[in-house]
Amino acid sequence: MIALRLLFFNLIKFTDLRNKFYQWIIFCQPLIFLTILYFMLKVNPAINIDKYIFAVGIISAWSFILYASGTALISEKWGGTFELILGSNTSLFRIVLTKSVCNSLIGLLNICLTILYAQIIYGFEIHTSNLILSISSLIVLIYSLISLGMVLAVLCSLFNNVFEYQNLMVFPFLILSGLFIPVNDLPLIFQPISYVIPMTWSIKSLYDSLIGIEFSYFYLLGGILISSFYFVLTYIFISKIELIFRKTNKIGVF
Amino acid sequence: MSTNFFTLSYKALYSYQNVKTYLTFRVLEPLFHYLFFASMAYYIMGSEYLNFIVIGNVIYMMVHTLIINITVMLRFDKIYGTLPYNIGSPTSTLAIMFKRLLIPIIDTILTFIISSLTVFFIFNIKIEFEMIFPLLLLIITIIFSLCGIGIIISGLGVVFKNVNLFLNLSLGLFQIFCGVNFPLSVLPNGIETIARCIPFTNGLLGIREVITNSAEMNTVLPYIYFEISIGVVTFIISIFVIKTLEILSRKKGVLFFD
Repeated sequence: MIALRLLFFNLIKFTDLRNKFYQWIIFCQPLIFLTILYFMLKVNPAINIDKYIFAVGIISAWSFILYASGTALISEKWGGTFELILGSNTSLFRIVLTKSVCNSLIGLLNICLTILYAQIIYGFEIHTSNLILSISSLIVLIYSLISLGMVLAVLCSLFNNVFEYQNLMVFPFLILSGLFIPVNDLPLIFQPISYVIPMTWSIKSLYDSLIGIEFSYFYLLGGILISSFYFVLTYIFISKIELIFRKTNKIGVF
Repeated sequence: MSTNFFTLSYKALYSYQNVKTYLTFRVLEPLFHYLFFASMAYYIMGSEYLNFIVIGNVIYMMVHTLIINITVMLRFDKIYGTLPYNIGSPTSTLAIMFKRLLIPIIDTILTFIISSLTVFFIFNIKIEFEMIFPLLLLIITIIFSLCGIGIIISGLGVVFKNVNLFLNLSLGLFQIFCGVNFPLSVLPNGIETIARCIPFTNGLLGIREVITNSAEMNTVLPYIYFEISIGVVTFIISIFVIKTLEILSRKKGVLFFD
């Protein structure tokens, strides 16, 4: 119940949608990528479009999560509220989790908005061979993004110039998660890294459900398991950070 | 004195203060960008467009570096509270901006050199010795024509609270209308004509001619002339815009606020 209240409160009070950069990511970035996609398809109209429309949505969702969840912890430090959070009854893990869930829901909104743009502005028709499996894959994708958002919140708190390193992280994750290049086509050395990224599993599962090739629940389950592993990992890490902060009065670079 | 000005300008405006950080952000960041768009183009348009996309994005990253570097000039002045002093000083704002242009230009050229080496090793895109002169000329022309646009965007930051929206929008439009990720021929006729009047488009067409078809100087001269003409127009517009925005910002009293 507390988690739900926190989530609602975070969505209403602390999601800064007036931030011009977030506005750009949510509303404009999908338009730019969809336009590029639209004209690329004029070169090769025979290609299946459905998965690429979702890919554009995932690009925006990932960008938002990278910047919003990535600064979830450190922004509290910048704002001088970190000490208050540590002193409150609610655990730091639960607060970071709430922020990450909230950001991932906005990520989902991003994907929905992209689909809407694709249909209304560009006249693309989106087909899925199995709606239930596509929705299930999308839910697992959001679950993956929540776990990844939590890892990012912890990781980014360790960098001094966090925004610049976030810029550096945008594309590698998208390349390795099989958004455009299937993981099997990546050089062998990168394939294990790909499967460590929770998004990879749900993206593969989503694409399979859209195209209609033989669907394997292995990827859906893999996405859930890897994401859950990250939840446990961040729980341990955040508990340690909390302890270090209480002892040293320092976190990350501060 | 001038050297001091450039050093101070670099230290004040650049976050890449050492070689290690500089190389990280000038090698890795562009490389990830090329790999991403190359993979996108490879699977959507086909392998025959791979070099086309990579060349387009190498030049786009150059443009990206230049525009961002010019835009942060006045933005950082505003953030750190030095904008009123610069605008109130006897030296005109435009003269201050022109003096500061040297570092973004050097950074842009370095970005191109580093990217050329990167794409040579990763995508096997070679730049032959005889291509160097026309390429250099085309790159200088692109930089010249884009400085005006950079100054305009930077000037908007004086009046508007957040200039990032203009910055991202203009970079997005460059990606769409300048033929970075797809051939200009797929644009509708009217838009294609407009696209050819935007800074960077003709320069990029010329660069592709040189690298892909080993075109000689005579072939690329029309692109250079056209790019210079567009550059002159944008420069004149930028002078007018900066003067107007300077007056407007004084009237509105927005110099102190971010």
